[in-house]
Amino acid sequence: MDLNKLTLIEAVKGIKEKKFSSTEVTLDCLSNIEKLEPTLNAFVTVDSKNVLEKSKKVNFDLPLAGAPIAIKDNFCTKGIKTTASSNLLRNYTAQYSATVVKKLEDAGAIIIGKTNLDAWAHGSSTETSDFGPTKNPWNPKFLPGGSSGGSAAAVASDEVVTSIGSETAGSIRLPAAWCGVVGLKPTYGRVSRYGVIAMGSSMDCPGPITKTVDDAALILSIISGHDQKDATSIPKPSWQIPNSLKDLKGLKIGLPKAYFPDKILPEVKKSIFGAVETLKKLGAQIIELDVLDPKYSIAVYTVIQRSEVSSNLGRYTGIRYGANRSTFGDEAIRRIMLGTHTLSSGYYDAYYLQAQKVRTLIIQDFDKQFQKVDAIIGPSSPTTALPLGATLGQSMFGELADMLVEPSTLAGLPGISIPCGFANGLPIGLQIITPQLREDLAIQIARCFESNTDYHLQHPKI
Amino acid sequence: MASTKISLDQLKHIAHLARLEIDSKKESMLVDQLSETADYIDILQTIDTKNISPTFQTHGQKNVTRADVVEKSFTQEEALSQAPETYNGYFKTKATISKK
Repeated sequence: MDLNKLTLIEAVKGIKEKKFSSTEVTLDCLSNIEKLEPTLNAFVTVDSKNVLEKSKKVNFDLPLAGAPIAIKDNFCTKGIKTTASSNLLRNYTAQYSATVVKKLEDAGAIIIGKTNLDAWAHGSSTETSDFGPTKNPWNPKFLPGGSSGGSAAAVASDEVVTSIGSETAGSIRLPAAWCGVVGLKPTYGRVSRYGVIAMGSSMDCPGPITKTVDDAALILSIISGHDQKDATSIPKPSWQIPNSLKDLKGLKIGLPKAYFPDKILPEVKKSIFGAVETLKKLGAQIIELDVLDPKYSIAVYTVIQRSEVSSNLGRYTGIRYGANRSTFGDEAIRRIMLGTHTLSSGYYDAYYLQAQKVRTLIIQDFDKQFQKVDAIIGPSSPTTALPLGATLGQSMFGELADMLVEPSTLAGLPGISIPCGFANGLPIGLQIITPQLREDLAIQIARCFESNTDYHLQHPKI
Repeated sequence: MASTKISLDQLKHIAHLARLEIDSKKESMLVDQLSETADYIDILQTIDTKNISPTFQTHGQKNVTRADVVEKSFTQEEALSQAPETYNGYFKTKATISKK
């Protein structure tokens, strides 16, 4: 039946209408996982036995009744190993579940497995996983992007119907773009970070990686909302799914010139301008913007993220859980070391404090732009997927690959990446950025674009 | 700041602060990579931030507390379940004060 190929919404609808069972969907996913994992390596753990048990006890009243879902392996899951794709946590099984996981399970979803990531989510390739790279389903000689590369590859290849990722800067949007799926990074604080293995705490944000914009909206409506267990959670109720727009008349969409750097792949630029034409046809007014050069965001993000990494990874002492610090891989060491340096006595003011001040300027720049436009668009990445091996010897691979998503991340803004084209058989992503708490608008624009294009309907031949 | 290049001595100092043991074969590579990154982030020094406040939190929540009420938490058994070594119901750590 190939029920693994369904979208989340189709799967839930079919299960509720008893056209097929949750167990049948789950079995189709499991058999595709078994077939593709030797090539893709998208999963760290597949929880076949438990997920099949759970698929037999579906509550049909729940919004995600019996839908199998893949979770990035940096979300704590009670009873299933949580490794962050790191040797240090190779044998760690959390005693509790992340709020996101609990909310999904309370809504009826069943966890099929945990997906691969760059170890500790430190990267933009999934090549720096301590358990080997995930491959891109469109061409296994290429990287899926990261750090939520396992989640993106699992969705793109129909190993699963849907998944959860997390983003500090780009870790949802970049792999979604490189794998040709939808990735939604919510407003910072919209979704609880409780139980997500911390990377850059002032930016970390869980979000869905899905086959369609509607699937992403459905998941956000479930995982969002205030959580007392996360002190940076925004005290607002769950996010509500917005109505569909017939067209984009009356909307002003900004196109920053600086989001087309010199090194951008010409095909990416061409695709984005193609998307601009589609948005214009749908009635949007496109306005060119002069924004702060993203090169400053790269520097600000590098300092803040690595400083927060060094602080967050200080807890791994090998005493309460996990192995000792000698098991950190090269990328974690690079990040901890630089972050320790930028926070250390004599350097704090020049690096960390200065970065946080420039962050204020980036926020002010967005405030200024959003007085002129409702939303901002651009490429999610300057390139399509890069070949395996691209990260080797690159001391700032992640920070440079994510240059076009770092400004919005530093400002805590929501953004969505959706498929908008292909080059040499590899997908291209369009990102839509909106002001804080305006995921509704990002979803509406993305949904309107999606329903007038067919990029999201194409599947890799794997 | 004088030079952003990170020296081998600095590398050893940082490693000590971060409680990391760096393999001596990787020291020179790390010096190069960290210096490269340190050079890149120097771009921040070119921006005038006089009278600009830092942003540590993007949506402005401050000093979030909860009611001081005891809630149900892990049992001792659960809390210790992932510890590599335990002793009489405690986490086992290395001595932090050495014997004379």
